[in-house]
Amino acid sequence: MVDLRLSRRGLFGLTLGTAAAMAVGCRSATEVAGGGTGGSGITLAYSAAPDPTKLMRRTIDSPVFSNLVFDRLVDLDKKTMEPVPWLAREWEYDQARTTLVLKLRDDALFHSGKKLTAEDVVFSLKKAQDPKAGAQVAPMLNRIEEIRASAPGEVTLKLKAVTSNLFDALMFSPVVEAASYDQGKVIGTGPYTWGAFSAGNKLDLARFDGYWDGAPSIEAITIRAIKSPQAQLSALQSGQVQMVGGIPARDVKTAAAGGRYTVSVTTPSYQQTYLGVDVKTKPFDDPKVRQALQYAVDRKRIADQVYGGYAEVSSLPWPATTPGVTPDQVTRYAHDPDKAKALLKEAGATGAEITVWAAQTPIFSSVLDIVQYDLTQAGFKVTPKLLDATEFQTLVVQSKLPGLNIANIGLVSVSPLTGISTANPARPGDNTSRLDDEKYVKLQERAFAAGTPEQLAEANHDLSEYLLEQSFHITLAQAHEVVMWDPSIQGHDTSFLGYLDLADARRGK
Amino acid sequence: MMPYWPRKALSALLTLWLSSIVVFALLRLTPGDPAAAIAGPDATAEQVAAIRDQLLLDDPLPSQYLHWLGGLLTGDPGISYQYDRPITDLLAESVGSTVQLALAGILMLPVVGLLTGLALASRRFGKAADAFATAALSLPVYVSAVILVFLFAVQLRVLPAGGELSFLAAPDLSVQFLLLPGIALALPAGAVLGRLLATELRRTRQEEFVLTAVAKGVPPGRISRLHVLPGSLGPFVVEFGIGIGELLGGAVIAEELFARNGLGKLMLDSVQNRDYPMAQTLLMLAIAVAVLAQLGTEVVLTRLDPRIKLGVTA
Repeated sequence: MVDLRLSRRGLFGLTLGTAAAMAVGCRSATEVAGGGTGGSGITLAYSAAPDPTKLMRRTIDSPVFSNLVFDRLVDLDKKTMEPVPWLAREWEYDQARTTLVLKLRDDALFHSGKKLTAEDVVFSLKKAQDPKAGAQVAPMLNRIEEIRASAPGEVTLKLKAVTSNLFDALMFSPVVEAASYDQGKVIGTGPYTWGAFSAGNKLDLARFDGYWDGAPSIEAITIRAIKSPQAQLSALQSGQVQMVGGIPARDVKTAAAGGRYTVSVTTPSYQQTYLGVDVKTKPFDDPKVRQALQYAVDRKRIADQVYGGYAEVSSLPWPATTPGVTPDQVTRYAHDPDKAKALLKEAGATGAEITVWAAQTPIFSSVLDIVQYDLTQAGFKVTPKLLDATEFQTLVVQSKLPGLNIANIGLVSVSPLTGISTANPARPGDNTSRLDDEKYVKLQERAFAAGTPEQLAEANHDLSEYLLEQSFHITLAQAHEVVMWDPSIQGHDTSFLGYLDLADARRGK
Repeated sequence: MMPYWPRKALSALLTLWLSSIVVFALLRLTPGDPAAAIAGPDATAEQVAAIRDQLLLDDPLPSQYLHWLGGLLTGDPGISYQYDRPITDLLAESVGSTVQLALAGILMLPVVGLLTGLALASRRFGKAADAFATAALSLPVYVSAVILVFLFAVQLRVLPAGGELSFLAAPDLSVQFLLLPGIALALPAGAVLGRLLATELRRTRQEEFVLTAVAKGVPPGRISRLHVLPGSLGPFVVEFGIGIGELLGGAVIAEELFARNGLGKLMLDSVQNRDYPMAQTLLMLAIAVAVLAQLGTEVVLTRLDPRIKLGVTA
């Protein structure tokens, strides 16, 4: 055996020396990373990095930074769903509802110091119309024939036809500074200015003292991209960050169980997880078989087990509070394996061999497990197939997944018309389910043309009925985004779209 | 016959060129469209087509290859699809992080190995060290990282759970950010080194020159320090070299777990999102480093044995 008496002394000395060196004259990285205990800066961790190249789109990273840097023309009231002023202080339709005149605030400044003008708004809306910008609301904005600055501080939109959900598109589109946008600069009129940025990694935002609604209380915000849920939770638990977002809701439920953190759920915004049905693949060309799928899936189990209870159970893609939607439509397809079996038998499809596709992510894998079990119980012979996320996405867009696929979309939480107009899987006339039905297109047109709230409610009801009857786009869950906050941060909120709003947030006990 | 070094250089260039074709082709053969990844799940075919057009993805493949290769040779490998920024800028932002992490791991590795080996060979710490070495060997990086973070970042709050700072900007803080990932990386390979060292220490202890020293009454500490330890370090050094390779592999996982923005994370993201120019460039960088390392090895070997350079075999 080796005698280690001297080595032990050396080791002890080395340890003491290292500890002393670290203790004397060294700052604490933990404290610096968390914005310091006494400062008013905060750090947010999000599963995706802010991406300045897709400002006109809603992407996975939009909720964490978009409303901190940009303002929009209007927002929607979370309860009434009516438009409320933002950069547009008032507006007026003509009698035919094909011309809308928006009057802008005269006190809004861009972060460059330049005053907001009607030309900037015209530029922003035209940019969102460009297919290259990839804005989901482009199909609605393309119903605008002419966008012009009709007077200083006034923008006039001339529509090709009545567009009942135009304000959904205006709520969606950020207003950017025309002169700097094409140079790749990120300049808005929001409460925070875009600062140091490291692609895929980190963004520093600084308080904009010239913000028209009063400068926010928090001086600086750092947004860090941390993909791993475990790493996010560790960062929160160690005090390095004050918010974690974009992690699976079931992880949030576990981590927040002790009541140590504030859990914030985005409402009314959610992601709709759906079962897409390729209606050209047998036996799904028969609506009865598609309705059997509706009865077969156990939505409550998906909401509880996959989304930790932070999801709504509904047979419809859009909220139960949507004007015109009736309670019986929301609960039309309650879990009923016997009815599913009976419908399958009636259609002569018992024992049909089917494939269910999904992207290989923890969430979709879990949903696939439940769906596979439910469909097997109903009498299908199910082959589950998990694909790499990009491959899956490519094949969905190209409608090349025969059978069923599990995915999610966002804007159905805004309204039925906006949902089916912006989301490829449910779009009338051209969708990934390959359902080509003139009746569906006409229902969409009727919803667009609704001139009164009553007409819109009626159109919503009929669209809901059509989706339930055709069952080509089956809702599995309305999953809200859940974020966890350190309780020392108060006054945080989210917009109608679920975007982070920290204008009134503050740090304190 | 072509002289040795020009022949070697030509061979290296040929390897790099063939690799560039393989890398280019492999990524194109991987299913999935970069434009679809950028456009998102609710995009229309029209929006995807517009992005394909913007990225020149519909150009003939030879033209795309030559365009990228030309850029690579002139130091401008292009723009990342995913980030819409010059690849050289993204590399410059990430390379420092990876180098720092790798250096931290490489520095920790012999420390962990030496301490573990000496403890294993000692009477007092032998059992505890054995348990530690078994755990360190069996735990993958993603488990040991979680344990370290829980202990030092969450419970004790003495070290950050993740993140980074440039060593040049703030060396005192940077070191603290590197400690946990460095230890997590060094643990498995360090435990192997430790076990090897302990075996060697025990074997050397039985060598005649050591027994002679004991018989002459030389103090045990002096024997260990001056005779046993130096005589046992040979295999340790060889294994250390091998351990560095394993450690670099673990660095990719450590970047993810400790939320560091290094080349490994960049590589994973670019492959997942089919960011062809970025992934191709990173892969070529890795291949170039391997080819250069191989050339470096041959330089050392020719110094040791001039017959290699002359092409003479024994």
